[in-house]
Amino acid sequence: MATRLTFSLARPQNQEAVLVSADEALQLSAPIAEEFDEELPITASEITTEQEELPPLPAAEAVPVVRPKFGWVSPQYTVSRSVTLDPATLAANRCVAIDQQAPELDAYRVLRTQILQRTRQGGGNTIMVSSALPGEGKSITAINLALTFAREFQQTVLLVDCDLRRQSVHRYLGYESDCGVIDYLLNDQPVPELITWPGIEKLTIISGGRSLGESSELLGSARMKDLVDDMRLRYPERYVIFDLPALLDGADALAFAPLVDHIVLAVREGSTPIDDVKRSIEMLPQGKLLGLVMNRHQGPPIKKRK
Amino acid sequence: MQEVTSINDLLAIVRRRKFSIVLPALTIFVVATLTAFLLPPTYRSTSTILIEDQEVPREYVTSTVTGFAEQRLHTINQRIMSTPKLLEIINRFNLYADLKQKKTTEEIVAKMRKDIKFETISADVIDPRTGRPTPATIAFTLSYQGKNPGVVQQIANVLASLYLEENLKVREQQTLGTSTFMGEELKTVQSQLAATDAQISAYKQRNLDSLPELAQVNIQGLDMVERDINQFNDQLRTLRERESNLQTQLTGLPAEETSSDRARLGELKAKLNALRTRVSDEYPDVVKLKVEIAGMERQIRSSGGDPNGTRNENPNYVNISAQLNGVRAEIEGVKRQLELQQERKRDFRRRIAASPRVEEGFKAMLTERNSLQLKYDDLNRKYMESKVAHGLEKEQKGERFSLIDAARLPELPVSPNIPAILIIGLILGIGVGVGVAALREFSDHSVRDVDLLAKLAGVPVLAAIPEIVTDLDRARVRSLRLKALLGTSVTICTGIMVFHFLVMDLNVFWAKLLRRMML
Repeated sequence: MATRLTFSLARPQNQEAVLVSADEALQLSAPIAEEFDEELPITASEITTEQEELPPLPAAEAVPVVRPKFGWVSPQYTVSRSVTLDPATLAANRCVAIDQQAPELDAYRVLRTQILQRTRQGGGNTIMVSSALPGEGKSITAINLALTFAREFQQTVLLVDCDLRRQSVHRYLGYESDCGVIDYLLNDQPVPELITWPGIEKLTIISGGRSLGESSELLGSARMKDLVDDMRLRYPERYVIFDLPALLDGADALAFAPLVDHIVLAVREGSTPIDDVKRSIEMLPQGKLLGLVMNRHQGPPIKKRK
Repeated sequence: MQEVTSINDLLAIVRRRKFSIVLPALTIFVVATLTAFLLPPTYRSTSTILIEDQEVPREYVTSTVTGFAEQRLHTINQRIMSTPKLLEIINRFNLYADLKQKKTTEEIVAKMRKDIKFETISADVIDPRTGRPTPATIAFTLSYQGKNPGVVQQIANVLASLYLEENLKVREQQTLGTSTFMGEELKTVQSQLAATDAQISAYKQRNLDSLPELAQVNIQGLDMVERDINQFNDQLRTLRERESNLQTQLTGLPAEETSSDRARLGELKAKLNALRTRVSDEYPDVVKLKVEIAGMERQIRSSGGDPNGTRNENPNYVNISAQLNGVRAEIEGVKRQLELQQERKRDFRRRIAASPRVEEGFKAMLTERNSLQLKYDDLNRKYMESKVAHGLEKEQKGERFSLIDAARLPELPVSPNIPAILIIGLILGIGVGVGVAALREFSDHSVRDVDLLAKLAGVPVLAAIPEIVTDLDRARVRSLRLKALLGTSVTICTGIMVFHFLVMDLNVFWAKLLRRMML
C-alpha cells in the first residue's frame, strides 16, 4: 500500500492530524458528470414517486442540542460540519427512523439486531448496502439503518455515500454538501473535512459533491481500499455503512464488494425478479452476504427468526 | 410468481392484480353493453300452418296423394327455397337493398335462406295400423327475420301463402296426373278389348255351324234327319209293294187289240229300216215303201188313232197302268228325298266332329277377352276413384294446409338478446380479467414472499421493511382518487349531454331502452 492516510473522525477531546498522500498511479479522467437527469431536484411542493427524491432544504440551521444520555456522552464534532435536519423533510423523504413513533422502526430494529448479531459473530464493521437493480431502496435502507444504528448505545455509525455517479444521501437528509468521497479520491481532500454531523448523536455522514462517470475504477482503486481499511481498523466500535449503486447496474458495487466485511442486499417486494436476486448473490464474494432486506413489504411483518 | 397454497395467497393476488382484473373486465363489459344496445335490432315474424287431414273420410274417398306430409313439405320447401323464387320475392319487396351493392346475388339469396326459418311441429299420434305411437308432423312454422318489422311480417305472410299455393298445386297436379294416367290406360285397354271382340266375332262367323253353343242343335238335327230317313224308307217299301201288285194285275188283264193297219205300218217300217241299212233312199223299193207307209199313216190318222201308239181299248187295263205310273213317280220322289236327307245327315256329322277344335280356339279367345275385361273393369273403377279424388282436391276437401296463425307485426326484436349479451360480456370480461391477471402473475417472477425468497436465494432475509407511506403519498393517492372520480363523473355527464343533444332525446332513449329490455 503506497498510500497511508490517516484522518480523524470526530471524537470527543480527540483530534488527530490527518495525513494524506496522493496516489500517483491513479490517473483518472474525471469528467464531472452533472447527471441529474434521472433525478429531479425535489422541493417540498413537487415530489415524484418513482425517482429518488431530492429532499427540500432545511428551513433553519439549528445548533445541535447535546442531551446527556445514560452511559454515553455526546461527542462534540468540531472539525466536521454540522447541519441540522428537518424532521418533516426526513419524513417526506422516507427517512423515518428519526421518528421514535414511526411504525417502520420495528422492522429496522429487527434488521439492526440481525446485523449486529451476525457481525459480532464474525467481526468486521464495514457493511455495504446494495441491491440487484436500481430503485429498490438502497439509500433509504442505508440511511434508516444508520439512523437505527445510531440509537444503539454501543457504537457510532459512519454512513458513506459511495454512489459516485449520484450522491443522494445528503439530499434525502435535506442538507447541502459540496464535498464527498470523490474529493478524497481525486483531490486528496482530508477525510475529516468530508464528514458531516447531522446533529444526531453517534452518526456522521459523508455525502455530496461532484458526480462522476467512471466510478467503478475509483471504487476499486487502492486509495479506496486504504480508506475502507482505515475506517474499519481505526474505530472498532464504529460501524461504517456504505451506500452503493445496484449490483446489476454497472460494476461499482461489484468492484467495491471485496473491500467490505459484510454485504446487505435490498430487495423490493413485487418488483425484483428472483433470478436477478440469485444472479446478484452469485456475483458477490462468498461469505460476505449477511442477508436480504425486503423493502416495501405489503404483508404482515415477519417475526424475527432464529 | 409463487405457489398459491392458501386462500390468503389468492386474495393477495387479487388485491395485487385488481387493476389487471378490473380494467379488462370493465372494458369488455362496456363493449358488450354498447354492442348490445347499438346493434341494429332484428325482428322475426312467424306464421303457423296446420296440416289438416282430408274432410271426407278415407273409407269413402281415398286420396291419390300418398306419402307423408313431411316429405311433401320438404319437397315444397326445396321448390320455394329455389333461387329464382327467392329472387322474385327479393326483387318484389326490394329486400337487402343495402347488400345489393356489396354482395353477389348468390350471397344475398343465401342470406335470405338463412333468414327464413322452417320448422315442423310433430306430435305423437297412434298409428291405426300398428297401434304404436309414432311421431307425425301436424303443423309447421315459417318465419322470416329482418330489420324492418313491417317488411318482415309481409314476407312471412308471402312465404306462408306461397307454401299453401304450392301445396295445392302439387296435390292437384298429383291427382290430375293420376286421373289422366288412369284415363290413358283405360283407353288402351278399351281398344284392346274391342280388337279382341272383333277377332271373336270373325271367328264365330268362320265357324258358325260348329260353334260349341250349336252342338246340341246339331245333334238334334242329326236325330231328326235320321228319323226322316227311316220314314222315307218305310214309304218306299210300301210304294214298291203296290207297284208289284199293280204289275201283277196288269199282266192278268187281256192284252189290247192291235189294228191291222197298225201292224201293217209296223211291218212296213221294219221293212224300211231293214232296206235302209243296205241301200240308199233313192232305191225304188225304199221309195215305194215310204209311200206305202205314208198312206198307212193317213189312214190310221183319219180313223182317229195314233200312228205311233198302240191303242188300248181295254179300260181296266188303262186304269191299272195309270195307277202303276203314279206309284212309280212317287217312288222316284221318295228316293230323291232320301238322298237329300242322307246329304243332310253327313253334314251334321261333319259339324259335330269339328265342334271340339272350334271350341278350343274359341275358349282361348274368350279367356283373353275375359282377362281384358277384368283389367278394364278394375281400371275403370280406379279411374272413377281418381276422378273423385281429383274433385276432392279441387274442392280443397282433401288433406290441406291451413294458416292458423298468420304472421303478426313483431313488436320486440329477437336479437340482439340484450340480457344474454350483457351476461356473456360480464362473464367474458371477468374471465379475461382473471386470465390477464393470471398471465401477469405467472409471468411475474418478482419477489413477494419472504420465506420463498430466503428459500430460493439461499440467503436469510434479515428483515422485511413495510412500505413507508409518507403524508405526501397519502395526499397523492387522495388527489388521484378525487381526480379519477371527477374525471369519470365529468366524462359521464358530458357523454349524457352530448347524447341528449346530438344523438337522441333522453326521454325517447329511455322509452326505447325500456322497450328493448322487456323480455
